[in-house]
Amino acid sequence: MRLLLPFLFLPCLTISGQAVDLVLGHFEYQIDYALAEGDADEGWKTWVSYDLDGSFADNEGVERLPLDSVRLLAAPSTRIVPSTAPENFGTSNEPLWILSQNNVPGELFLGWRAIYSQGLFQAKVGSVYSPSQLGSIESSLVEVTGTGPERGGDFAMWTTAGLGRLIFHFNTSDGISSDDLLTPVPAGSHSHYNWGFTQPGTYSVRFRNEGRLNPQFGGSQTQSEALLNFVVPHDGFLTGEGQWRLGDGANEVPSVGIYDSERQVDYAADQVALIARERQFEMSLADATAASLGRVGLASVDEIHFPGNEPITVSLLEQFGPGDVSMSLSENRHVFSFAADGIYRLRFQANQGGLVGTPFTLTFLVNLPIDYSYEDWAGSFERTHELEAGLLTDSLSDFDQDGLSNGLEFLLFWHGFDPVTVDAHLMPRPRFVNGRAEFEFLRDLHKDDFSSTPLELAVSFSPDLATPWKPWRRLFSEGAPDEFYEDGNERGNETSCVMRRRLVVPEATENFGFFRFEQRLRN
Amino acid sequence: MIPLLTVAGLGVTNAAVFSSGELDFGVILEGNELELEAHVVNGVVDGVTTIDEEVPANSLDVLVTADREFAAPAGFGAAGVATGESIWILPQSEAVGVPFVALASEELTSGDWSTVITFSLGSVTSPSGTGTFSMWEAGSLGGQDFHFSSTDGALTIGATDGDANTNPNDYISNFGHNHVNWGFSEPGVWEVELIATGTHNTLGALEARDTLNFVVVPEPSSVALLSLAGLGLLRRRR
Repeated sequence: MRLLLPFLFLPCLTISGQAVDLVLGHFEYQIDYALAEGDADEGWKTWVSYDLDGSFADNEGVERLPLDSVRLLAAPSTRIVPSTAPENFGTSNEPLWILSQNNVPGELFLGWRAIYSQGLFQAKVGSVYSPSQLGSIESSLVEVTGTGPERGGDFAMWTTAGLGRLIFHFNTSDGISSDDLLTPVPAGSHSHYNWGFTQPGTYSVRFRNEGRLNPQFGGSQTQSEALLNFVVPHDGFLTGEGQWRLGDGANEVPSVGIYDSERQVDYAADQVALIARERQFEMSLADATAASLGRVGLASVDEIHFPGNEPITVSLLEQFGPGDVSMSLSENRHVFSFAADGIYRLRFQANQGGLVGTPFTLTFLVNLPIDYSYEDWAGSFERTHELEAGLLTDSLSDFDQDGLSNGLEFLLFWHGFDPVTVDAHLMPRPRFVNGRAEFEFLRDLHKDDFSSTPLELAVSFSPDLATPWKPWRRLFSEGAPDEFYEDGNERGNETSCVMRRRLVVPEATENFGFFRFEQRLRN
Repeated sequence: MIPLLTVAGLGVTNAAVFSSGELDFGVILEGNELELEAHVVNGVVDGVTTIDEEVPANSLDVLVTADREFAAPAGFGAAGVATGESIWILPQSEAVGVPFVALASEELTSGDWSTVITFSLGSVTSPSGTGTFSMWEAGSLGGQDFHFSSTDGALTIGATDGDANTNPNDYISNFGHNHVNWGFSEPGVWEVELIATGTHNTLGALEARDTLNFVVVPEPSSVALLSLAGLGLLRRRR
């Protein structure tokens, strides 16, 4: 089942200066050095690179991206909870996020590459340099900042040797010292490591690359620093309890976020699931002074300000789900109780005096995990609409005949789709922005992880319906920058596993063009 | 056949010796045929630094030097060694002066294929006839995910090796190149048959197979004894 969406003419907004989000595929932190006239330090260049033919085995087709133009994301599948954490990194039975040294489908495979002519640098043994034709450079850790470290998160990079021993090169758990060193980094080297993080959030990791040139090249000590930006997405759900965060939105209309006090992060209502394990979920009012380190789906403090001018009240407008919902007040906590398991949508509105906010919807998963299956979803909507069991079983059919297959409505759940209601109008609208056609949507990486989940969201583009459909690239590196690719487009400073993404068609004209959404069954 | 090279007392074939650097065993599409090749990315072949050279997969002897001998920890049954016994390893992570060997399918265009490429283990000839060849990836927090074992019954057909494929002695390559650990349970000359399969959109099911040659060097104390039996270690050049 397909849906065609012509994009609209909109005034040119601004070209987003934000970095491209890389969430899967083979990339390198690449260090280049070439002799420079004058200041030897000018010879350093650092990048995140990828290869147009998918091969890092040779130097052909290597594309270099400025470090500040990319963010390196950890996919949900990188999250593990080890029963026994490494002795010097993380905590047992607490989550870790690891970009693996192995090439895992659906995850970022980040290597460390150095390109410089052999014979440029001296060899270093201990702290002593000596001229050599086989010399090399080394890299050290300078600092790690961001909301991840502010939450107490640590960063480490290590190798797991063939016999299972963990060899740490960098590790902030014991502070940063001269021990945080990767040496040697030989000419032409290309190695993969484990990159670990202990909290969600952003991590700006600053490295120093350093070496001493051989005497025939001036013999000077030379160095350069480089900053890599990592993002560890939040889970995108709260279990058992959460907090309202009331504030002033644009034009001072009342606005609401959902606050996770443990992670100190505010979520937009449409990017967080509230999981009720015992058919109950408790909401309380966030302390007006509660610290917030991150915003997911919420614009900057200039546009939404917490706390707002109280009093702000929240009204329930409607409820939707496979059973009745009751709400009671207990010790300043709103207790939501659900009569049956399944997926519920509760629609609210914030009010402040005569001002009313834009209605928003909270999603409750009652005795369902965040990565619930298509079958769970279909069963919940069948019960909600009192349909005969099995009528929504086929993901390829279009029960409500609105042009969107059941599976597509499942994949785009966060837009508010209901497979039994004609609601194609909920599809987000394409737009034309400074020479590029764009289409923004919410991708739930718990449902479509680019790798192992059964259903896959696929998109293609045609400028005129006569030109053959051009498939989008799941990741930036699968095509040159002028290809049709998917990118991040978050609002706020952090990211969750329900990600705001955009599809970008650089070569589109502003006259008209067509996007085609499809669901595919992943083999 | 007279060996052209001798490595630490071990007779080797007239194949070139790859002694260090990055080497990828990969598949290419040559005409309508799938073929295995060895891609010397940046390494030393017969003592000469060699960059970006592609040669037949069976034309190299990959050297595993004595310093690659380790005492196995527990859990290496699939590698044919008990706790404390010796195993020689070419590592998944790059180490100076050591062959850094990958399996690759990156030179194929993914859109031309309806399946990923699967590498499978064929016949293995070990020095004694009873040795074990193995291949695995190390887990991020330790442990091993074994993909190949020439002798372990748990990795025979019908069992699984955790990669969602019915053939346990296989390794899925998604049009990339992956470095892995290569294990040998005894010194000497090894012949390892590697099979690559995949289904091309227009050419249908394709297969390539070739023999990879490894020379595992023992500690000096045992070299003399093995040298006496040097002729027995000579192999027929394919």
